[in-house]
Amino acid sequence: MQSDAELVNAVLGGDKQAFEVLVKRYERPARAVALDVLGDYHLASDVSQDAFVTAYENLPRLRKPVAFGPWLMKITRRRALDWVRRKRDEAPLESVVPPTIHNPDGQLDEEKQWLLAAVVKLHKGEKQVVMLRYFAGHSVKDVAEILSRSVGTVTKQLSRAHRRLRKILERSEK
Amino acid sequence: MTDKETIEEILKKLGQAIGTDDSIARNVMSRINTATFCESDRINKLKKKLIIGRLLTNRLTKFAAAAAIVIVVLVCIHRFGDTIHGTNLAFGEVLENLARVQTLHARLITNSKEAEVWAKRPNMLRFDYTDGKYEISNGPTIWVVDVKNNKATQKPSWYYKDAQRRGIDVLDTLVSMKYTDNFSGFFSEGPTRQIKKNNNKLYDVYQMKFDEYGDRIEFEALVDSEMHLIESMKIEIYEAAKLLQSFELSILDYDEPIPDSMFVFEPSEGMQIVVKEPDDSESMPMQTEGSTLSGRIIWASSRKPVTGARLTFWGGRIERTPEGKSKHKYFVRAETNRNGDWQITGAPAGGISMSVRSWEFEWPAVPIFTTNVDSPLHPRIVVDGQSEYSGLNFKVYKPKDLYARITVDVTDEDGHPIEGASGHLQYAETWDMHQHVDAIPRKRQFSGPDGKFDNANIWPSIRPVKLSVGPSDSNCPYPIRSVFTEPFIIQPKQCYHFDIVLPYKREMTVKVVDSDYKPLEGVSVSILDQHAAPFFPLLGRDSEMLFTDSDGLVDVSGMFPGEDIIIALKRLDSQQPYPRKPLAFACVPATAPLNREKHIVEVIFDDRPIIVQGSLALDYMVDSALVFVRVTGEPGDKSSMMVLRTKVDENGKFILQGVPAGKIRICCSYRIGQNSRRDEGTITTEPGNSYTVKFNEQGLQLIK
Repeated sequence: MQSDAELVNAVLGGDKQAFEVLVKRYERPARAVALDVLGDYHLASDVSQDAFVTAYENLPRLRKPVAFGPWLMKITRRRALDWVRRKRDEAPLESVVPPTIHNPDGQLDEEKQWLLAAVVKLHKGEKQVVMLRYFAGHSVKDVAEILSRSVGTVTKQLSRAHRRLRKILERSEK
Repeated sequence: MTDKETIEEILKKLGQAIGTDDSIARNVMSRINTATFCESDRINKLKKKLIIGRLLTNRLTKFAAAAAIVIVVLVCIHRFGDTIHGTNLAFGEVLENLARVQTLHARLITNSKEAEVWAKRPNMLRFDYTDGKYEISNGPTIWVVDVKNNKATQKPSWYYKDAQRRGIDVLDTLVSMKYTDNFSGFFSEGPTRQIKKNNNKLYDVYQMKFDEYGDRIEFEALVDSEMHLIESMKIEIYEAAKLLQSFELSILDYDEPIPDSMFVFEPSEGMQIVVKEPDDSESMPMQTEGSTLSGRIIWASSRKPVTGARLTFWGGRIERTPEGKSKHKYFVRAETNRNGDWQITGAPAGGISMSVRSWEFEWPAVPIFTTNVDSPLHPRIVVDGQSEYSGLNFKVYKPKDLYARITVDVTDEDGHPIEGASGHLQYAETWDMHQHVDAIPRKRQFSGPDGKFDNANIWPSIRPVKLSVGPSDSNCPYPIRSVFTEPFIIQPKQCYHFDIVLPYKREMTVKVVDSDYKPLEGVSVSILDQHAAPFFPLLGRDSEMLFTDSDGLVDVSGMFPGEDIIIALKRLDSQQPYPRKPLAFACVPATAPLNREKHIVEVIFDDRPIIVQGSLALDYMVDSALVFVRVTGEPGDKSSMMVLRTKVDENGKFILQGVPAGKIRICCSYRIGQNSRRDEGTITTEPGNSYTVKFNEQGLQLIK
C-alpha cells in the first residue's frame, strides 16, 4: 500500500494515474465532508469532484505531501461552503439545502446525520483516520501505511475519536 | 450508546450509507487529463522576498554576509587546495565495490545511540550497544539480548527481511539507502571534492542535500580515493532547522577475519527467553502446477551474466489476507545462478508481472526485457498456466548506456520561446504515461524563459510514445491543451530533438439564433473537441458557464487553428441546482478559424426539448446502473466523452431530458455482482419529439 506522500510525489513527478489511487482512497471521506455541508448526495458528489480537480491543479502548492488528506478535506469543505454561499445569494438557504441527507438507498436517519456532523468536527488527524477506517473501509494497518504513521498511533487516534464521539452522542441523548 | 462497539457499528453503517460513487474517479481522471498544475508563483515570490528581506534589511547585514563569504572562500582554499583528480567514480559504483567485501566492522551512532557493528556475508550482523544490550541477526532470525535484565528475545530479523526484499545482503544494508527518486539520481554522481585527513590520506567527498516530505535531508560520505571504499557516512534529517534524526557510520575495518561464533547466541543460565513466531502471511507459497518461466540476465555493455540478481513474480487472483491486505495468490521469488539463468514454476494462467533487482544494479541501472514483454518499467507477460516459457531474457543497462536524451524548443507562432510549458511522454495507443519530461532534471519542471527542455534521463520505450507539450498557465495566450509529436520508439542512448510550436488560441464569436434567425438569449455555449471533451470554458463549472447576450452572441476561444470542434448549446433549467440539467441541447459541428481574426459563426438552435425515457429489461439483477449519451465516435468507442447522464431508478427506469438532436449513442453501464457490463445502441432524434427505448439481452431497442 503506497502512502499518500508517495502518491503525491508520484503525481508531481508526472504519474497522473497515481492521482486515481488518491481519488479512490478519499472519494468517500471527501463526499462525507461535502455531505455534511450540503446535505445532498448528488451535490456532494459534484462538489467533491471539483475539489479533487482543484487539489490536482494546486498539488505543487502542498508543502507536506503527508498532509494530502486534511488538505483535501479543507478544499472540499471550502468548495461546499462556496456553493451554499452562492446559492444563498440567489435563494433562501432552506430551499437550497434539504433538511435531511439523501443517498441512493433513501435518507440518513437523524442519528447518523448527527454522527456525521460530529465526525466532521473532530480534530483533523482523528477525522482522517475515522474516515479512512470506516468510510473508505481500510484496515488499521492500511490506514497506518497510508498516513505514514505507526499502527499504535492510528489505534490511539481511533480510540480517542471513539471516546469523543461517544461523549457527543451521549450529550445529544440527554 | 455507551460502549465502543456501538460507536464502531454506527460508524460502519454510516460509511455504508454514504456508499461508493465509482463515477467520481472516472470523471476526475477525465477532467484532469486536460488540467495542469498551477505554478506556485505566489509562494515562490513570497519565499524569495522573505530570504532577500531577511538578508538585506540593512547595510550591517550586507557587510556581514560579504565578510562571511570571503571567510568561507579563504577556508576552502586553505583546506581543499588540492584539485579533484583520479577516477571519480559515481557513488553507485562505490556501492558496487562494496559487493566484493566479505566482512565489515564499524561504529554506528543513530540518534545519539552508539553501537559497534560486525557484518559478515551471508546475512550475519551483530550490534553491541553501549548500554549493554546487543542484537545478533543470523539469516532470518534475530536475538535481542538485554544483559542487564537477563532477558533474550528471538524474533524474525527485520534486517534480513529488508535485505531480502531489496535483493541484497544484510552487510549491504548498513550503507544502502532507501531507493527514492531523489537518491537514484545521486547514485550516478561523482564526488563534489577531495580532502586530506590527518593520516595524510586522500578522500573523495560525496554530498547531497534535498527536501523530502517537507524535511531537509543532508547526506555526506567520505570514500577512500585509492580503494574506493566508504570510510564514513552521515545522514541528517531536519524539520525546520531542527535535527530530527541522525545516522553516522564510521568504518573501522573491511575484510577482517570475524569468526562465525560472533553471530551465534548462547543463552546464559537462568536467562528469560521469549520467542516470537514469524508471521505466516510473509511466507511465499510455492506452486507445483502451472507454467514454467525461465530466462537469463546479462549486462548490456559487457554481455556478462548477472549473478545473484533477485527476481520477483506476482499474478493470479488477488486475495485478501486475514489482516485485510490485498495480495496476489501467486507470489514467488527467484535468483540468478552463476550463468545469470533463472527459472520459476507454478505460474497460474493470466498475467504475470515481474521485477528484478540486484545489489549490482541497485543504483539506477535498469533491467530491460529483450523478449515478448510489454513495458520496460512494468514487465508483464500472459501465460496459459501449462506451457513452458523460456528465453525471457533481460539486459541490464547502466545509466550511461541506457538513458536517452530529449531536447525540446518550445516557441509560439512568431518564433518566440515560451516559458512555463510542461512535457510528458505518453504511449501512443493507450495514452498512459511513460515519463514526465523535466526542463532540467530534478530541478525545474517547466520550460524556462528560453523555452527549452533538456532531459538526459529518458527511459527507452518498447511501445511507440508521443511527446505532449502544453502550457501550464490557463491565462496564457495558447490553448491549454497539449500539442503531440508523431509516435516514436525511444532507443537507449539516443538523442531526440523536437521543435514544438504552440499556436495562439483561436477565437470566434458564436451567434445563436432560432429557426426564424432571431437571436436567442441565455443559451449556454461550450466548446468540445472531436471526442466531445469540453475545453472551453475550461472546467465547465456552474460559475464559469457562458451564456449568449440579448443579441444571441458569446465569445469563445481556446481552439487550435482549423481544428474540428463541436459547439454545444444548452437551454438550462434555471430553477435546478448545480449542475443544472439541460431542457434542450444541441451539438453543432464546426471548424475553428485558421487565422487569428475573430469570426462570427451563426448556429441555429431549435430549443424544442427532446426526451428519451426507457427501462432495463434484463433477466438478472443489476446494480448501480447508469445511462449516458455520446454524440461522437462509432459504437464501442470509449474515447468519446459522455455529454449527458442519468441514473437508473430501483424499478429499472430512466428519463433523459434535453437530449441532443441527431444521431446519438445511448449507453448503459451496470454491475452484475463484481463485474461491470456496458450495452449501447444508436438512435436518431429530432427536436420536440419523445422516444421510448428498452435495454434487453439483445441490446438497445427503440419502442416508439
